[in-house]
Amino acid sequence: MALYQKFLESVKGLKSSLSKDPTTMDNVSGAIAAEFLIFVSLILAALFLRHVSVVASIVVVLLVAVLFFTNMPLAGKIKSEQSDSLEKMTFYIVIVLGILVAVIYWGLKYV
Amino acid sequence: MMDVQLASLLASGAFIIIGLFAAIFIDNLIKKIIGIAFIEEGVNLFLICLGFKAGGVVPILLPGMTADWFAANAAYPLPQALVLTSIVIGASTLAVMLALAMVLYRKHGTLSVSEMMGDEK
Amino acid sequence: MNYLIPLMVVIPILAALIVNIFGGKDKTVKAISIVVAIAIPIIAIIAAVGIQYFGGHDPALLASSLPSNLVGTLVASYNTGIVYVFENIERIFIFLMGIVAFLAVLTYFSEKKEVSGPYLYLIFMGIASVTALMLSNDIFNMYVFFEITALTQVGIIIASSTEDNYEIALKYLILGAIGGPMLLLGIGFILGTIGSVNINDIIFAISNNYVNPYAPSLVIGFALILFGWLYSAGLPPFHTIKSAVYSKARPNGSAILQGFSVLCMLAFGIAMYKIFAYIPYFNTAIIVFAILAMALSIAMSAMEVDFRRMIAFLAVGELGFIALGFGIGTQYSIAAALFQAANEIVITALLFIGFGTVYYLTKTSDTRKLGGLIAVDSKMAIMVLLGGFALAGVPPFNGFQSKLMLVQAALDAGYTELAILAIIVSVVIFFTFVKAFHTVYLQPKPKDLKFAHDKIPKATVFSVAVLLIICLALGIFPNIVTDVFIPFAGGLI
Repeated sequence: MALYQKFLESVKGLKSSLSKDPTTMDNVSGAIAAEFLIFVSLILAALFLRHVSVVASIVVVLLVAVLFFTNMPLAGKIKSEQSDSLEKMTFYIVIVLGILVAVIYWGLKYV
Repeated sequence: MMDVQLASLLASGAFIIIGLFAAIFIDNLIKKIIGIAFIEEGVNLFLICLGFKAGGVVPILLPGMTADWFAANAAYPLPQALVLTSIVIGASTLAVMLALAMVLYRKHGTLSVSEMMGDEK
Repeated sequence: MNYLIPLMVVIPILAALIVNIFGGKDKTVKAISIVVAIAIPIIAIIAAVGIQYFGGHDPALLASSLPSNLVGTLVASYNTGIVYVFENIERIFIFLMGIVAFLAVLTYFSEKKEVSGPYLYLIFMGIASVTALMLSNDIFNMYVFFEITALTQVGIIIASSTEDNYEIALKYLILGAIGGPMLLLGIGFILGTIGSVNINDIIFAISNNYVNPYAPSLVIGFALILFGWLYSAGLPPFHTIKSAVYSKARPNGSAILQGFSVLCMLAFGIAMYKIFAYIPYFNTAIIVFAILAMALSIAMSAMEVDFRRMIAFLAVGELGFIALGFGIGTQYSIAAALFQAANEIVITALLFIGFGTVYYLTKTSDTRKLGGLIAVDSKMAIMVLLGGFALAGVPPFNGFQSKLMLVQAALDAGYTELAILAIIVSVVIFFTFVKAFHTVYLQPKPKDLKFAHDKIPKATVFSVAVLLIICLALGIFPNIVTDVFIPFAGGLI
């Protein structure tokens, strides 16, 4: 009996380690909500560009819509990119540092 | 011959870039920490060379100096005071990091960051 | 001379040293900690508004004794020492932080039999440094205290003895070792351009055209300080590490860590706003990071199954609202951001401590293994639910007032899309919270759920109740704080 119990527990542990993927039934509502949120915020962020340039805003909104529908389940990809892996975190941090310095330095030269 | 200030600025830039490179690309934890120390030292060098003045004197008012002469010739003392604090902070951060490296080495038996942190996914 | 202003920093540091010395004696340590933790908010309330010139370097007095070739120059007006400014806005934030720290310390005592001196040392040291960060008017001094805060944050995680806490602490240190020196480098660029690190001097030099406002060194300084601000606040790209940090601390520790982050964000945000608001697209840059913080963190929290990590992501996402208020940049929106920051300190402390009781009872934070906890303590469950309402912005709580203010400010400023985004993000926060609440408290209890403790300590219930009362009070009488924030925001612009 004890052996069977052990086996059952190990199967349960395996199941929980497998279901980290957000598209399993465990958290499908959360994944859908995240998907919608990302879509809406992308579109709204693109609309925010209208304060800079209306034409750019239209182009970017269309581009975002097309890109979004062709890469539909985006939430899982975004989740896997934001894992606790040190390499990914360092990568994004250094990228943001580079972009910030470059854009602000060269951008303000031509304002 | 190159100006001392310019040379120090270039050196500090090199320090920061080498340190960033090491912190990003090197997998060995100790080497990563050395890289991080490089970044800190590069920034300290940058700060200290801001106060440099060619031919300047130590910013201590000695007997016989007039205030006007002193104001015109002394090096700028503020960065030196700041760097002292910044070195202390850097040293304490480094100490905590090395202590953590020791603990993690005992726990995992390796110094490779990717193995230690389980970064395979 | 107003001695209470430096004492606000000195008392917690002294307390930190004393509790560390008395490490083994539990009763003494508890008594000292409780007294000091009560003393901090009381001092914040009774201290008079004022300015503290350290070393007595009042620039107005020094101006008469200057060498002849300096009279009338830029240098003549410089502050020669560190200056602490204590106004009503600092009073509010130090008071709230003090209350949260007091309740967290109380919760810690009730949940742990033996008290750890170093843990309390870290908490008090952190409080001292964020207080100094709020008071200081000197960006280098702010950097120093910020680094101390970061180290104490790391220490609090290390002392928390949770799973994988050392790994997360090391990651935070490594990433911080990129963020911190960049902030210092930015300060160095400003020092090199202007020759002072006092914020008032910098503003004076820039606004009176002593330096070219678009000098490359100033602009790079701005970029680096903006990056340092992202690190201090935990906005993207630092949101993953920040949320990991919150989820690895003990619940009371997370409450304090979150308060630290909010105060760091505010102190550097206000300083940055004072110095660099003239730069074109300054607001746009901040709004971009605010949108990223809201969208990414809240989406991540919706997908999360570990409730501690979920609350941590919600807390980081709420920071996006504060950044949004700063980014819109009108008087009303900055006041809303400050109000939101004050609320965030209280609400997330409530949620961390309240949901922390679930971890205390069951020693698991995976929502899939939990359920039916409303039967254990229904009072706590209801208080946590109300705290979640406050977070999502349901009336009559404080979160509603600040988010309403923020949305109105966005509409007034012509940023309709940002107002819509703020509302949608609030809706998703509500959804995420209710889902977590349902799985933890309402769904049937799984058979294999084991309890480590049977009851929630009374002190924890008391802490959550006090925080809830503060939420309700700020929600019904928002004027207590907005009467301070709106004039302050007017002074910033």
